[in-house]
Amino acid sequence: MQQQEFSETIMVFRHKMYRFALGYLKDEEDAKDVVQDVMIKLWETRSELKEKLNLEAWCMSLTRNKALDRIKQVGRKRKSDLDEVSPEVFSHSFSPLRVVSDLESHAHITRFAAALPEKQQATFQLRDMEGYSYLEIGEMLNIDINQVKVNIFRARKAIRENLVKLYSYGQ
Amino acid sequence: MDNRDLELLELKYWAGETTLPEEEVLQRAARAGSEGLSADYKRLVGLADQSREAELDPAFEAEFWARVEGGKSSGARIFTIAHFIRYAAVGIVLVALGLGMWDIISEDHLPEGQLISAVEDTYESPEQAFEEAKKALLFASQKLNKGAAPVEEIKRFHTTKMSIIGQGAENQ
Amino acid sequence: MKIRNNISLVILLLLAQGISAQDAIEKYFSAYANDPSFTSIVISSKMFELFAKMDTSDPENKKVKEAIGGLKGIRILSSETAQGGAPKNVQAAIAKIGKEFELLMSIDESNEKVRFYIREEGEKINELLMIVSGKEELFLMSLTGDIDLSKMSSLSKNMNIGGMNYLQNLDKNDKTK
Repeated sequence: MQQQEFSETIMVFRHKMYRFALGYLKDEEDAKDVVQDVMIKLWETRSELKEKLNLEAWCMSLTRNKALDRIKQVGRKRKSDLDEVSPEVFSHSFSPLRVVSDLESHAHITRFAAALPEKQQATFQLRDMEGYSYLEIGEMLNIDINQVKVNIFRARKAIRENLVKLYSYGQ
Repeated sequence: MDNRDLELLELKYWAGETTLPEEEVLQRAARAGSEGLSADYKRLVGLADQSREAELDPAFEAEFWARVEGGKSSGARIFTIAHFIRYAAVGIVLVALGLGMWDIISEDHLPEGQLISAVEDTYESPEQAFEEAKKALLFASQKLNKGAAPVEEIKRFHTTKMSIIGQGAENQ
Repeated sequence: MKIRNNISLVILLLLAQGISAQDAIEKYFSAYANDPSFTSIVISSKMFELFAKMDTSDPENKKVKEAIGGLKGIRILSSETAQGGAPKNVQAAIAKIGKEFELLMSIDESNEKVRFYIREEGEKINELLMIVSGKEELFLMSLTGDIDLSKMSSLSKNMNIGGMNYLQNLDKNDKTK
């Protein structure tokens, strides 16, 4: 595979890979590094890529693995306490304008999504943000389709509960 | 698709039972502000749309190829001239004299006024400046309010719906 | 190698990462201030001090004075690109707005996008950055100082002046130094 072909068939996934990595690492530089590293690996193994049935799923799967590795390396702890979100919502002194602004809920939703178990968060991101099919998601996360369904249900439910919390505070 | 259909479809969504085409219908309706959908869902779509805006910078691919050609895959970043020329407009001049010999202008040695901001007032009289400041602030103020208003309406809608249907309905 | 570090430092300056956000935005504004395709307006802290001393009999102006009470500076960059779309390097630079800036609000419409960013120190907002990007225009405004969002918001609610034509009128008058 030459550079041109690599550019056209693999590089095109870089933004989705970046966002996916960002979901794990929460840091732009780290996410960018991960994508660079994955691209290097893909380039180095480019002769084997023809055998991959779903190239995109493979790229995303590698991204996930690299991101998880990185988290382990750096020793970052992913907080899993759902309640961590509430104190921030309720204790911060909001001015009226801030309560209605889009960012507040965005920041808290992002942090909340991060508090979900990894597969739930990843499923939510891959489905509701990037629009992948359950089959593709299963490939990317290495789980079967039924587990994908369960994860999506749980993730959406959890996120909705938090959205409701935010709303009732605003009233 | 009418509001009732959308409501049902949304219920399907929360149950994790929707197909991709169905989700696309829901998303389009949410962006259009359809009344058949809950405020929660509309907000979620808004967030997802915003999140999707995150992208790698345009230099990413160039950096990658530079790294590939540099033969190093250990994480060292190699900057090509093309990379710098892209940013020449901001007044930095970097002269590459060959392998390992970069004539670097560090922060300390920048020509005055290029990166260090020299604050020069555009207007000579405070009256003129005041008029301009006033216009600019009004403009910003109007935009600020524009953003806040739709959300106010969503909140009002939420409250009204709650009181008509009764507690808990919104949370299904 | 030391040289490598300097490269990183310069790139950081250009990409506005890792440096205090205030410097980054100021540098960005300064860089384009002399670019002929941009209209640049600067109102400095000295000017704001003079405002405080100004006589304002006009009740409207009194309100404005009140709203801008804590401000220390305004910087505006505006461009009308007949070719369509903001210059790409500008977009890239905007994408690099530092972490110190939080997105406060965004308004997306078919013909333009508005983004408000704030930089806070503790409970106070010391910079408000507004970016309006349309099909043919790009507008950045940075307000620095002690910013009161509710005062800013109420400013236009109580006045009838049509500020919406601001962008169009801005580029007509020759404001570049």
